[in-house]
Order: sequence, then structure tokens, then C-alpha cells
Amino acid sequence: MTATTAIEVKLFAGAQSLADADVLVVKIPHNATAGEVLRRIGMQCQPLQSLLPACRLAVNLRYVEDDFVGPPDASLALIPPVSGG
Amino acid sequence: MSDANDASALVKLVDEPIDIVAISETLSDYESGAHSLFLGTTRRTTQSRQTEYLVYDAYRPMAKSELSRLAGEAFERWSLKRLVIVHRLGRVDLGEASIAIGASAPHRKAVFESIPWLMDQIKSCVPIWKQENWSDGTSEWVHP
Repeated sequence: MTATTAIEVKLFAGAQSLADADVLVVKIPHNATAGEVLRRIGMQCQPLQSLLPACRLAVNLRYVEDDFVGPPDASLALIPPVSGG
Repeated sequence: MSDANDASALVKLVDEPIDIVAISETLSDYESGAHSLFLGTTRRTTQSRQTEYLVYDAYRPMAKSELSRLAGEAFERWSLKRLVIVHRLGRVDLGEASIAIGASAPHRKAVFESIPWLMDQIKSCVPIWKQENWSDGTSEWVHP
């Protein structure tokens, strides 16, 4: 059995509305990639599934690729398509 | 008007109306022959719908970090003398500015090219979001 850990993912805008929360606690395997984190978010928060394919993950204030593995204490945020300006 | 010979960028997120006069003063520079200021404002009509007001939210530390990164790229690419990027958050009523980008440089081409590039970049990668609040009382986050 794979050991899991609970992480917090910040939510914003439409993602925050869909999840009805500004932070999501997600269980992920140790050393999970960003892609795996996104997949787990969808599994553990069904309302986000429609928006998730358009979202990016930010780790420590930077966008990361799907194969990125962050440090255990990283700050994670789910970034839906942006619309500033 | 400043005669300082240093190039500098100012990036701010604000919760109140954008101070255009302060931006103009920041852009002042004796070595610059070109000054340009872009304002993005709340528009009333989108297709056939009427906007009552907009609300902007941001992942503030990352938005600031991304704006600073973009400002640095613009400085390097166009040899700007001064650059100011201010984005307003919270409620922005019709006609009010949600974003201001001001640039100054020795020649006009640099400011004419850098500001549209910055706007395009901001609209693609800076974690700031707009919520439309329509005149019929409904609202929705914009995720293009």
C-alpha cells in the first residue's frame, strides 16, 4: 500500500465557487507529481472536474509542469484560466 | 520631472482607485522622449449583456511575482527607462480603471510595443480573475 500525505491546495475564483471552499485538503501519495496532484483533486472534489482540465498548478508561486515533484512543505495553488487586465 | 539616470519598474496591486497622476509623475524622466499610459476600464456592454460592475480577485503573492517577472522581461527587451504596472482588485465600477500600465523610454517604438506585449502576457499568465456582475443581478467568474 502506498503511503499518502494530506496537502492543502489554495483555490480561487471559479474553482473556489465550484468547491465552495478557498482551500482544499487532498490526499496524495508521497512524491506525487503535479499531474498526480491535479488528478487527485478531481477525484476528491467532483464539482471541480469540469474546470480542472483548464487549470494549472502553481508550486511556491510558480507554474509547474505535470512531471514536477515539489518539496513536502510546498505551497500549492490551483490556478484556473486567468482574466485580469 | 526626474533627472535620475536609473531605470526602474514599479509593480503594485491596489484595493482603491488607481492614482493616474502618481503614475505620470513616476514615469517622468529627462532621458525619455516617449511616455505612454494604457488604462483598462470597466466596459458596460459585452455582446448583448450589460455589466453593472466587475470584481477582481488575485492570488496576490504570485500575481505580484509574475508581474515583476514580466516587468523585468519588458525592461530588458525594450530598454525602457521607467515602467509602472498597477492592477486594482475588488469592485471596479463602470468607467473606472482596473489596470494601468505606463512606460517611458528614449524613443516611441519601445513604449508602443512593450505595453501591448505586457497586456497580452498579463491576460495569459498572471493569477488575477475578473467576476462579471451583470445588470440582471447574476454574476460569473470569467475563465476564458
